[in-house]
Amino acid sequence: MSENDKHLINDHLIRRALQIEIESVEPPAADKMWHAIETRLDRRPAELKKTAPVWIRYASLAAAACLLLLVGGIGLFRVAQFASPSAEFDAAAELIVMDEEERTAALDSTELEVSDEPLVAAPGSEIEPDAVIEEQKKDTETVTVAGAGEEPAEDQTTIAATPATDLPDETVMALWPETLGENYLFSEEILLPLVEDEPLKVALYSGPEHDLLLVSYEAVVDNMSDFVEKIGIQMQFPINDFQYKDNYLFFVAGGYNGLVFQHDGVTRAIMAPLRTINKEQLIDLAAPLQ
Amino acid sequence: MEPQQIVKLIEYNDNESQRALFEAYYRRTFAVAFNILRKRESAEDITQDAFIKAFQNLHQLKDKTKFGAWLAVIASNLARNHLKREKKVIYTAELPEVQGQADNNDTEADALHSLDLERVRKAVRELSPDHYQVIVLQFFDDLKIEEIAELLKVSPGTVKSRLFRARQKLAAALELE
Repeated sequence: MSENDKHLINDHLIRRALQIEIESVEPPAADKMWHAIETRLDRRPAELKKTAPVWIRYASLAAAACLLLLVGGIGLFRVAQFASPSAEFDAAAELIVMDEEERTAALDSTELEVSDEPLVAAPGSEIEPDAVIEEQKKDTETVTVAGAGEEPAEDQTTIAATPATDLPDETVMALWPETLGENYLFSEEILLPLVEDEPLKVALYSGPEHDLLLVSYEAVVDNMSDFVEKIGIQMQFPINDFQYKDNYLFFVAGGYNGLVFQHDGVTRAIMAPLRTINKEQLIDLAAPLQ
Repeated sequence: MEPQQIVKLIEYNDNESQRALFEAYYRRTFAVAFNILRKRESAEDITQDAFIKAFQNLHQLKDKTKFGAWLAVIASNLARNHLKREKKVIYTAELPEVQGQADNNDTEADALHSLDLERVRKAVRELSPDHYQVIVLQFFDDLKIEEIAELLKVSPGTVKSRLFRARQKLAAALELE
């Protein structure tokens, strides 16, 4: 038997085996399943009206800004950059997306307009929900970061937060799943420019009572502990309560519980307000992203 | 279902059209989910989720004639994520009954063929979700490498790599390679 013959037989067997495997599965009753789908399709718009209070959104964005600054300040830890490191995850996420109406509804339901306003956060200070928005500075694309042992040039660290609304839907949605867990719906992607680096991508997820932030950093770091410690030192940012569990590193930063993990060349962070989500719940939120 | 009919139903995307698409594809979608999860209850949930995601995002489907394959990708992605989330063990006890076995009247060649078929079926069940996904798209949906890559949003090279590894595992069951 030639190699070609083997190949053909193999293909035929695979095709036939798959056909049998699929056809031999007895499906559930169609009417019952369709009724469930129909009900959920009808219910969907109402669920999307649940949004978090505006101040929580401000706080979320402030925390995102801090985290992104921190990540941007650790360029020395960046060990690899892939052309498309998250390709496999993208594939899954791309398919779990909100449609245009849902996204519009979600955006309409909030008063926060991050598109035109820079975020301001005082290094070393607690993030106050009402202290994060200052006068519009559209041209601001720099990040001023006080290094360890240095005096901050100003008492503020300013970054420009730009929504990625001009990106095609598929591009935006490729990085982000439609939902985190069962209760948090993708609201919008924010691009935060970093000094001499590509903007970092953050997604805001709206929940019934508060928001979540998901950060995607398209590179890996050698050591997540060093990664987070470097963040704290460089930014004079009160990060504490480090704890490893399995492949996760937990921390608390600026009033937010944080979790960092790496998968497929991407470093991701999920942040949630303290006392609202525990570590186990954070792990549950992170699991589908791996 | 004819491709033109599929396209029309997708363009309408009303309740009646959705029901027609559901009727046409729910068996196969459920089977894909079940073959990954091996739990009927979970597969039902994933099938529902897959149809809902699909109906809500039909505008993203570029080639509407590929609705079935697209739906299978959604279902298999959801099933894969479900497995990761639940860290579930695959329950082989729920495997469907074997079909296509040789009977007493089969020739020796038929019997050997049936034996090989069963070996491949067993190997198919043991594929990872990623490998199962590409195998289904190539051998059940007859999609080209580029079409699979576009559906999965990965490079053609990644698809080829997954197919190669999947075929290696299936071929190993037959000791062909």
